[in-house]
Amino acid sequence: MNFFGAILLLALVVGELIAADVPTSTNSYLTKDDKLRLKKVLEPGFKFQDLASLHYAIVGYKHMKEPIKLIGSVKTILDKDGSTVAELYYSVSAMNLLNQKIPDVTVNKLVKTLQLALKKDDSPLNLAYVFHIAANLGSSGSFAFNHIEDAMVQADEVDGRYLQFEGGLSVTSLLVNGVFKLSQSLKKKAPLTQLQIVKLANYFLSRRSVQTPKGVANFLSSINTLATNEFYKPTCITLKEDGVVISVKQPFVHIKVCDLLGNPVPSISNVIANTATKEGDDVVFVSKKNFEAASNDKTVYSLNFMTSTPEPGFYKIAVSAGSATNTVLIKVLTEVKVSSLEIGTADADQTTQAKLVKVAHPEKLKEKIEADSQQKLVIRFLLKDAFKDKPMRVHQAFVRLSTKDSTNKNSQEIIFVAEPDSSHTYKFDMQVGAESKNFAYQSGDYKIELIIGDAILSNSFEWTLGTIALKFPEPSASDVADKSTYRQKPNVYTKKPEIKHMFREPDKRPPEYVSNLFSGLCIAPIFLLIFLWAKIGVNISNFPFSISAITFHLGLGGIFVLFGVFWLQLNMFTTLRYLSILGTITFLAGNKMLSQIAKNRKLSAAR
Amino acid sequence: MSNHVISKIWQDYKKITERKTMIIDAYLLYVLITGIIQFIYCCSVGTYPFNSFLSGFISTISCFVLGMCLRLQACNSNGKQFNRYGIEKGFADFIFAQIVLHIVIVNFIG
Repeated sequence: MNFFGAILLLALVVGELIAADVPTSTNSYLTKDDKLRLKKVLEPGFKFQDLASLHYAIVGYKHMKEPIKLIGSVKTILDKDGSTVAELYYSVSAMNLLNQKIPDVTVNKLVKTLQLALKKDDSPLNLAYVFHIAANLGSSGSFAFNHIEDAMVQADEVDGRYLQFEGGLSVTSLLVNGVFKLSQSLKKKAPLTQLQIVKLANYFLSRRSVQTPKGVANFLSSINTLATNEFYKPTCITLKEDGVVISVKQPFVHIKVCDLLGNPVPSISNVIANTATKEGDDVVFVSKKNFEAASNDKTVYSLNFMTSTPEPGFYKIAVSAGSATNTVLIKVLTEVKVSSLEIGTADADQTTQAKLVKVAHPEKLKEKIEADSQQKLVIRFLLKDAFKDKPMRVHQAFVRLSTKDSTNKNSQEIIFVAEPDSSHTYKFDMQVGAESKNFAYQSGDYKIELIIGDAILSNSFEWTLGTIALKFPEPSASDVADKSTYRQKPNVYTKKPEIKHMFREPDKRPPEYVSNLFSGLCIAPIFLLIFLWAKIGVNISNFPFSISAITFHLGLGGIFVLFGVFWLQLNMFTTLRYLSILGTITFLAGNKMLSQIAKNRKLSAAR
Repeated sequence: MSNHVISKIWQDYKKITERKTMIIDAYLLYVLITGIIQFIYCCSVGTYPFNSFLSGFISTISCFVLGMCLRLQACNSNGKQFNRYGIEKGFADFIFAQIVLHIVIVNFIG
């Protein structure tokens, strides 16, 4: 054996080890209700509306062993010279239904055709058709038997629990039926392991909610095949309906052991609880205990679980019946009782001892308790397991304070959590003053209720302890504002306030006289300029009084006036339009003027 | 000593510089002082509204730069570089640049 072979072997061994954990029984079976419902799905098929529904209805009814009331006659397809495997399958099964024998020559030809077809396409569907045909051919069909393993290799495993073929229920059903039909006709054991059969059965049972007539017929036929095959009949080990809860009053774990159709399995004589472990700590709690068969129902076995006084909680029981094993999950409940409860008030600053009154469980405090904002409400209680008389903690322990008049619009209901300390005593302190905001400062009579609940309690309860008159201080101004928002129930459908755009607040401007002073200062240098120019001696006399020069200066002045108007009122586009007119005029005039000056200068230079 | 140097420079300036150039120098001085006053305002009072201050200040700086460009072209000692086009071309450029500059500034002043 080479290296890869060794690895393959190792993988197989590991796979077997993993598979050992998988339950070797199914979790459910076909109940009467299921059958009734399935019949309803099939019934419309007998109305002869379409042949396929009729076919599946007949097949389904046959499997349920229900009488078929046929109104018309079914026209079956006779010996059809089909070319595809599916067509061959239909023709062969039609001939078989009519008890017509297929001649040997045809059989030999058929076998060759099928073998060729399988070489081309060995999909599960094709294989299934071939198995069905081969089952009808007697000993000539033995060629197909070797293909069963090829088919099983193609099965997809889901979750480690289900085995199915690509194509869903119809293909899986057709193939499984074909395999068992073929092995039955050849009187050979089908090469399927017990685990494979259980997984296939699990898959079919998971599809029992199927809705179409075809699906129902497929489902029923394959369940029947698996339940009645000669080689290995899967066993179902499950809890009896509504058998999850175990308590002192109902101490029995009822296990249902049956075949896939809900019938008792005669080969099973004793059902054993191999182990029972508490969920969470995995400590083995019970080992090797026999279930007793119930006298009235052969499929039900019972075990008194409470004889071993289990702690309340969830337990996993590994059950084995014959060769099948399965794990069921049960819940052991207990009852809680209030061992002691004290209620009263104390000063908030704890200067004086609390005044506490004892109340017994279902009763109510006679006097009304009164508490103002300087005091606090105190409740102390201890819960005990009713059967073991041991202190216990529960999942949920709440104190609810609610206004007595619950129809009132301003009714308040506030729930507080009671916390247990290390000795399992629950303590609840409520500072009246500090909590007044939560009560919306609404003084008055409040009902005190204690709520105890847990998944493992059979008697979770609500207990009205009594009434308390709470006096809250007057709310301060800021609290009133808070209160109005607190009281306002958020209603997502109301119109939201309009969102207005906020412009940035302008910064503080300097006083007006400062601005004016600096405006003046900025203008002042213009006088300096005029003064300097005058001093230097601007040659105004040299100004050329031509049309172009005047137009140019007017145009330039006009442009700067236009800019001033633009600053004050115009927008960019109108400004540009005016500017283009003014600019063109000024440009032409300026060009003329400057070229004139240049010419004059050159002339004077030449002279 | 320093007084002597400054007065000497001033004398030379008056002697050498053309009148045309002095007119431009006066204009540059005017723009410079205006810019300095705006800067003092910004430092002492504040920059709000900032875009107005900025457009005014940029206006003075740009005017100074453009004026300096005009002076370079107008100065006869630089005639070698600019003589091809003549001072009129420089003046026309100056006017055109001023128009474009001020439309931007008026747009920005807000």
